[in-house]
Amino acid sequence: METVAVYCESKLKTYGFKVVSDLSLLSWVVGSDQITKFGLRFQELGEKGFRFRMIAAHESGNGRIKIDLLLDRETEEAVMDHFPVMLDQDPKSDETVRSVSPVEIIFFHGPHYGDRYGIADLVLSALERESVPVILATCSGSSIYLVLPYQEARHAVTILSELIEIPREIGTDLRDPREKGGHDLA
Amino acid sequence: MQKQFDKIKIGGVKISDKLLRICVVLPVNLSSETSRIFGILAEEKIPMLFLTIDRKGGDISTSCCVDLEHEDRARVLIESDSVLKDHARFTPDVVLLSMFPHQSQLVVFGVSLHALGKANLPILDFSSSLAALSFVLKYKHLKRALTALSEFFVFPTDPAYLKSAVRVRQA
Repeated sequence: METVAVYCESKLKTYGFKVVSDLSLLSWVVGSDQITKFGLRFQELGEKGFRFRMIAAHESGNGRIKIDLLLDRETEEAVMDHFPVMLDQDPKSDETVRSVSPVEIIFFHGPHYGDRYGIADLVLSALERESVPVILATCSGSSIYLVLPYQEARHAVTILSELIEIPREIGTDLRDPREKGGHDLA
Repeated sequence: MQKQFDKIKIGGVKISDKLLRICVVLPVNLSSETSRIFGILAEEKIPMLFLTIDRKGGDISTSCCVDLEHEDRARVLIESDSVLKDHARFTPDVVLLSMFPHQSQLVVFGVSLHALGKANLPILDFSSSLAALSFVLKYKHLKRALTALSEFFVFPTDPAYLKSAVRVRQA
């Protein structure tokens, strides 16, 4: 027996929509011979209680991968300090950490995003048309994450609100990062 | 020296069918064309199971996965596109391996990376989501990846396949 459910969307439905500011995006390009070591270092950071907002990685040619780690800006220095100790001090190596800070993130999830077509096109094309620079974006499972430069999230939310049914209470913290840091309103 | 620790219990693992990975690397002068591939796939009603977009230097790298059944159509469309044809690369027979929950813990990610690195398994793409960590690997490496990860994680005995029992028909 098959059960059929039908619903219509005038706008793309979301189950949760959040904006978080005062974040840092750290990036490494890691050689294949360094991946195990990097894994151990991330594990050590985790054991010290550090948490991430988002992680992404993709191959970067010649067996290397680029790892992007998004975390609260207040933890950036401690995380960065953890890595130079173990990196080989090879001046030719690009396996040094790079930072973009402060940045903001918009993330949301909704019904069967991974099963449906057109979601990424709807969201990313709209931001591209309005010249919103997206530093990093991921769509995985039913979640979409957009990492934006400082002070771009408000503009992006305005654009996306035309296309997406954003729940009435948005978790936002768009404070100036020069004030005491923001936090995710759960 | 390898750290000794108890295996981490994982709530669930999901494994996809075979997928096609499409990677487009555009130089900065073509950055306004980043969404072009999404329009092509949307017009063909092809869902993307996974997507990352990243800026590396001046380039913008887009990597997405679609069901392998769409390979022929996707290749024809992208290879005939005036902008994308010179910048797209296709990798068939990849798989999406997802583990959850991560609870925003770097330990889970770090151990996964360590395990796959130790087994010398190339990671094509990776992303965290609300609850899961998802790796894009070559399908032929799946068994070795699960073996490598099981050295550090306790998996449930019945991994779920990514193709859900709910079929979404979209108009």
